[in-house]
Amino acid sequence: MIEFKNVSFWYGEEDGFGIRNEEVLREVSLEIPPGKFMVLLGRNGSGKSTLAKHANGLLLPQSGEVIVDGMNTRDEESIWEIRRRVGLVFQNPDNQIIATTVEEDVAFGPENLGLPREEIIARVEEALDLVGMAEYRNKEPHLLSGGQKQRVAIAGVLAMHPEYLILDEATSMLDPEGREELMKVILNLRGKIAILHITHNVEEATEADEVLVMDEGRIVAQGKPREIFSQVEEIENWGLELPQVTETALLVKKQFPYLFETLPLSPRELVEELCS
Amino acid sequence: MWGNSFAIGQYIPLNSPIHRLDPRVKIVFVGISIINLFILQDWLSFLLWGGVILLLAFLSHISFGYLLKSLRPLLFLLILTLVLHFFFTPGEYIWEYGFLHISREGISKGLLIVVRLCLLILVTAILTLTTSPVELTDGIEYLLSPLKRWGFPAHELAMMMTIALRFIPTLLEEAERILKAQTARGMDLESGGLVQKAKNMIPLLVPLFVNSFKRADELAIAMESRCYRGGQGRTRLRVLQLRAPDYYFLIFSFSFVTLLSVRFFL
Amino acid sequence: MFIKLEQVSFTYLSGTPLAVKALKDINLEIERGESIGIVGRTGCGKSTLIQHFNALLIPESGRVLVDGVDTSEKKAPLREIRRRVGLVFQYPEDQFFEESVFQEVAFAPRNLGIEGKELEDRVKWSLEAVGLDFATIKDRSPFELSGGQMRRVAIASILSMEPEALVLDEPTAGLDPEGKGIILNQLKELQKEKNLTLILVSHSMEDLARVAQRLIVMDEGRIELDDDIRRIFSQVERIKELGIFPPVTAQVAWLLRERGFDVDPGVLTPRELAEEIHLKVLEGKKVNVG
Repeated sequence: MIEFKNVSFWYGEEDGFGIRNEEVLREVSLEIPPGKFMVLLGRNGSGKSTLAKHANGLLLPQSGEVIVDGMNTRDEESIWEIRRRVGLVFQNPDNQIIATTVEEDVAFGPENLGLPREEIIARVEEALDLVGMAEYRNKEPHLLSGGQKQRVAIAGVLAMHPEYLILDEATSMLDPEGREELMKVILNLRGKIAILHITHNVEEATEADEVLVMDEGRIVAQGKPREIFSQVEEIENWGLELPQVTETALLVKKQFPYLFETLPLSPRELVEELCS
Repeated sequence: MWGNSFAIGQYIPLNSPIHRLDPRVKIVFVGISIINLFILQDWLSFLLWGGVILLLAFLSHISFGYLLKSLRPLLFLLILTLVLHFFFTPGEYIWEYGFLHISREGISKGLLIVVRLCLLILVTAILTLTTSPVELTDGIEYLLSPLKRWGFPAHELAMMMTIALRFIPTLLEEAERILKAQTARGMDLESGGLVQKAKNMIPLLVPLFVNSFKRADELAIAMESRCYRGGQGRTRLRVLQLRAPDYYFLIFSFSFVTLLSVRFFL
Repeated sequence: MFIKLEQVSFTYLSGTPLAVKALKDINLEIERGESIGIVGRTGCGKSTLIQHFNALLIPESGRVLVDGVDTSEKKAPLREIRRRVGLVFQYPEDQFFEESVFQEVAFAPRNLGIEGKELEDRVKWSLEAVGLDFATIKDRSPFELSGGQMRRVAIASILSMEPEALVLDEPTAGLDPEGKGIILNQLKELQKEKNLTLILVSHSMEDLARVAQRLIVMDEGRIELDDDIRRIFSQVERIKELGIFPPVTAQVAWLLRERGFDVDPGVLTPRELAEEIHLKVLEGKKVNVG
């Protein structure tokens, strides 16, 4: 379990009145249990990325604690084990790939762990299979599409056998095709590994076990996808939009209140309800 | 579109016996060749070296004509060297015109020096034509790693080289993008004197630098997240292993070089 | 006729083994004041096409006419063409290099010889046109702004040339829903105000639905569809074949049509879809309830 206990993080100084300048995380408490698929939504600047970087100790909280499987991220002895367990994939597909071929890049993590060569080879193979990039093992990264690069990035993390996968806006720079590729891989990993998918695209939250919303450094909502999307007025305040299907259903519901007791999240669900 | 392996150095991806040689062996070969070629002074030795280079070219599946192309960038320098030696070496003059003279020694010395230079360039070309940049990096890292005990950052150097190689195509594309974007804003690289042209580079260089720093920052974060903490304790996926052909090649090279040197000293 | 393409073809790295024919016999006419969306799967030639509009690329065959001027003519006034057809690349904030927002936005008009008061007026107008406050932002470093602000400054830095057409490649890429909304609304406003010809390349049909009236669909270097946006929206199957994700509203409309309801598939927004559902699907139900 990854536990955030009252985590606050800020740039700048605390002045005499206890007011912290440019506070980026404000008393955030949250739990990521093993195997759960969670989506974190929020506008740009809400603190989502900062939260992600606390999960593997890239950033340390100014107050509060981040505990990963019993290990505190402040503990210098445990930090490398924490980073093995909590894999982070970032937004820019290019700036995560360091090697000259796909295979070597996926091997980078295992190499850092000092694993024997046969083990590295096996893990690279396994990871590439999980993301569907096995045929590309000898390709040079600059010849890949954005979606393919991100899949390689995920493979590179999976090769370290993490318990938790945190995707920090990993789909934000991809075209719709790339996003779909990536969501397929992510959904495939459900249950095998805990996933925190950070995004501002609400359509990617519809299949989550739990959705969290962040605004101005705080977690302002937590619940199942439908629970979150039914908070229509809040959605806009949080800088998000409703899935178009849900928005349509809510508009229809105004005239026909008995319809859509459960809000539809996909075109099929909308159509099914209308036709019954 | 840009930056295929072709674009970097001169590497041609083929599968010849020379291509398959361990990069370390090839690097060492170039090293001892350079030393040997500087020691030797006579035509027979150079002729033998020429023969060896022809043999290597043949074994590399590279036409000798293509190999000679690597001399092209330095053609001017070679001709200049030749001419300078012709005219300025003292000795028995065989041609005179006013105060210009060409000596027999000049011709002989000039040709010798130019041929030596050519042989040096050709030997190095064989290396770069048959060894991919990645292999070269690996080879250099292995050869330099004994120096680690004296604090030489062999691993860090190799890591820097690998990352640089990885990003060259990406940076080229980015440079092209930025050039187009600034051109679309009316920037003109053609006009103006030297100072103006230098100033015009700012809208091109600053964005490249800024983006590179950002890239480096994000890359470092990504590397740390994957437990990178320097070369200590790291294992490797790609290992270099010497095989029979490598040993034969080494033995051959050392024998040849030794033979020629011994001949020279006797 | 503002921009016209006649049988335009273009090949990258022509004559080398890596040659790629990016545009094949493109014919296109764009009038002043139109708002056009260009879509197509990655690699279809969209980026290559738009670079022909402002003469960054010259066709290898055929010709491109910008207000009657052939871009491939030897003496073609390229700077003037690039002023009239402003091009905003993807992630335009990558082109920043100046110390202040003011200087950044002033770069383009300066290159055109604009100075002094007129320059200042232009910069002020451009920043306000993208919804930024001139006084507070002009001295700030462009590198210290938020993502959405940087995007707007980048667009302003092209607007300051006072172009007659604005071509934008994925203007909302990487922005959150709020940021997207702001940009798209500003563009709509601008278009109305200045009768700007707006050309947007985008992967998001939903984005284009908010701004474009005409849609051009490309595939493998050719224009496959070129029509009013609603008419194209309704061709869900064809769009899918061309590798594009049909807008969600149209997807729902088609599913309903499959079930026998005569829903208009050319619905661009949830509101329009809701109205169609109300009229065509629930009418019967309403009668029962009422």
